[in-house]
Amino acid sequence: MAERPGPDLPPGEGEDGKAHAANMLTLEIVFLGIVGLVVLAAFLEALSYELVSSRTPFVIMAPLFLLILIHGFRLWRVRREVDMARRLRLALAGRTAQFNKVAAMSGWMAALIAVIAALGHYAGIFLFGVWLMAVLAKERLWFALAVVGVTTALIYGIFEIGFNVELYRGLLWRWYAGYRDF
Amino acid sequence: MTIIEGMMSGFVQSISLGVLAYLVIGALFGLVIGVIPGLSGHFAMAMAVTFLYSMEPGAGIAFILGAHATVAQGGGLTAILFSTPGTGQNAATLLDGPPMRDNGQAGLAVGAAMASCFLGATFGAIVLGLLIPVLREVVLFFGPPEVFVLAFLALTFVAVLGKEDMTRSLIAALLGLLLAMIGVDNVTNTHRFTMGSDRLADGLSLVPVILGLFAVAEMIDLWTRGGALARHTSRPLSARDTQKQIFQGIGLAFRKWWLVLRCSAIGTTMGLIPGLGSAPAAFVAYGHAKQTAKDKESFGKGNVEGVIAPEASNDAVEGGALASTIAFGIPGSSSMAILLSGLFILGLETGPQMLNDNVDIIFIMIFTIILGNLIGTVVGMFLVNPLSRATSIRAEIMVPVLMAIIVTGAYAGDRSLFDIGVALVFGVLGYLMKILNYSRAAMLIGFVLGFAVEKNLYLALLLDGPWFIVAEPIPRALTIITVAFLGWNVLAIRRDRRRTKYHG
Repeated sequence: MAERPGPDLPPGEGEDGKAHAANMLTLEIVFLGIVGLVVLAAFLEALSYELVSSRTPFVIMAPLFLLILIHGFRLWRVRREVDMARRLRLALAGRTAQFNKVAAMSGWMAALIAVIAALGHYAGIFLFGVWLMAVLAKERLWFALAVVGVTTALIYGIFEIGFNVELYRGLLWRWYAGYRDF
Repeated sequence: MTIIEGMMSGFVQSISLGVLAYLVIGALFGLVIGVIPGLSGHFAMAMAVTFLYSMEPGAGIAFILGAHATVAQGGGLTAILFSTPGTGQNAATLLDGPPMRDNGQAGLAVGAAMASCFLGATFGAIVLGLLIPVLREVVLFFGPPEVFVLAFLALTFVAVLGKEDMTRSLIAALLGLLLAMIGVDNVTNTHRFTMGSDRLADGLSLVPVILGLFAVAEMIDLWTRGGALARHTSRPLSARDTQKQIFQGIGLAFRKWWLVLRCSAIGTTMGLIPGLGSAPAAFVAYGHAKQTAKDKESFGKGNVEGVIAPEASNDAVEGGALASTIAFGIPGSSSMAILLSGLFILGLETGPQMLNDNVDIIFIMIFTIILGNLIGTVVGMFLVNPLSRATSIRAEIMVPVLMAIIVTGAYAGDRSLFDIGVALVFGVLGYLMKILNYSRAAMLIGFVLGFAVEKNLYLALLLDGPWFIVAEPIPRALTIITVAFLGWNVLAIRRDRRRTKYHG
């Protein structure tokens, strides 16, 4: 079976094919570097366990290290072709369209958890949905409110009434309900 | 429980109202998901698995398999009507489906595709039923050393035969296994890789990991791409003509029963091999249909056999794939890994226990596949046009709605806010893996197999010592196959690279 040469994703806005391939290669080097560091940390952590507990992780991590090194070496050999440092600087300066979109989506999702934790599940998904549709996607506000409202009501119906699952009410509600242990 | 008893019990349960209702809902859900390009079978199953906590085993299996069963039917429909396969497994249908549409035979192609799906799935399900007595005997030869080595063989197959790059897929598979090590070790009670968090003491929950890798990641992908999900849409067909043609197409699939049978056999056989999946099976079946046809030239220009062959094959795969999942607890694809997770959630155990004590559950699966596809065919027959409109839903509307459901599903399992975080983190990881060509299926299968791998390694070392891999004939043979398969593929890749370099 032939090995595919690299990651595949259509070029983002403002990226030609070459720049896109260079961005993807840079992203993969960073990704693999992080994965390698995490695995290294896990390896060092596993050294402190009893042999019975660390045996299976070692059986897994030994070939994993080898594969990361082999693949990392392959990527590292071609890094000069992509001018990795410049690509990273561009991405961090917000000048890579694809990276911006993913970073923004990750940020919104982090905000979603924060809102759910503070205001509760229903408020969280409602605000998140309206934000995505009305603010980011520029849909009409009444349409966004209607779609997200119906979705939230359906979720309430299915989970709270249908399956008897009480969704998280949020720290604020818990505070006012008299809970002091969070 | 004897096989006859299991079959009768499974049939009665499958048609009981408590199960049938979930099957219908699951089948309709799968059909809609299948129609929408970008959302695939494992997305449907990932979403379905979140509802399993509150269901009885029969209903849960009917719901999740019903959803999975009809995805290919929905995908075939849009492949023909809009040249946009709803799922990857319908890619082969693109070769003859759209030309048939352009020749004014869209209804004929849709009817033939849906009936072929149903017939293929039925064939696969029957083969699964017939395999039960064989599997009951075979599974007795598989103790801890055999299962341990088989798990690695399956992971190797998934990594090598998958559509992604081999090295990246192997990294993903091993990362999945490593993620399964998080939590308290059952033997020594040591907290492993928990970073002092009590939340991680029980390990990462399956549902948020599945939702993250396959549902959240797809949502990020849809959001970043934006726009309508189907890029090439045509006018809906006129209802009367379509209906007439659909019935003719269904009749045609039944008349081409010998082709359906052969292609279904190809699909079921390929389903038995972990990692191959539906898409390659569909292309092999297409090639077979073309090779054995008298008018080879008409293939690619709108030959109905070019629609029947891949559609029959890609649904027949499930029967074969289920056999290895049920017998050994070794899933061969992401969908089977999700199904296995679903079985864990429903409190069911695969292997000898299921083959001997829960045969009725296996027959519920068999009847679910058959009935699910029948429902999909009937619904598809009458609702082609409304279903096809689902392709025009824009990502900007779909993502907020589905994200709300995904987040709720992640929370509902263990009522844990932490699990929402896990789903979102794995969503970003899954998206990165998708765009960087790392196999998410391999990671999930590794994650699902992690517990079994560790348990069986521990027992194998106790039973046969450190040389258990070569001590007994079956592990030895499986190890040789794994190493030889991996080695052969590495050599093939190096040869290809040298050839590419040489030819410039």
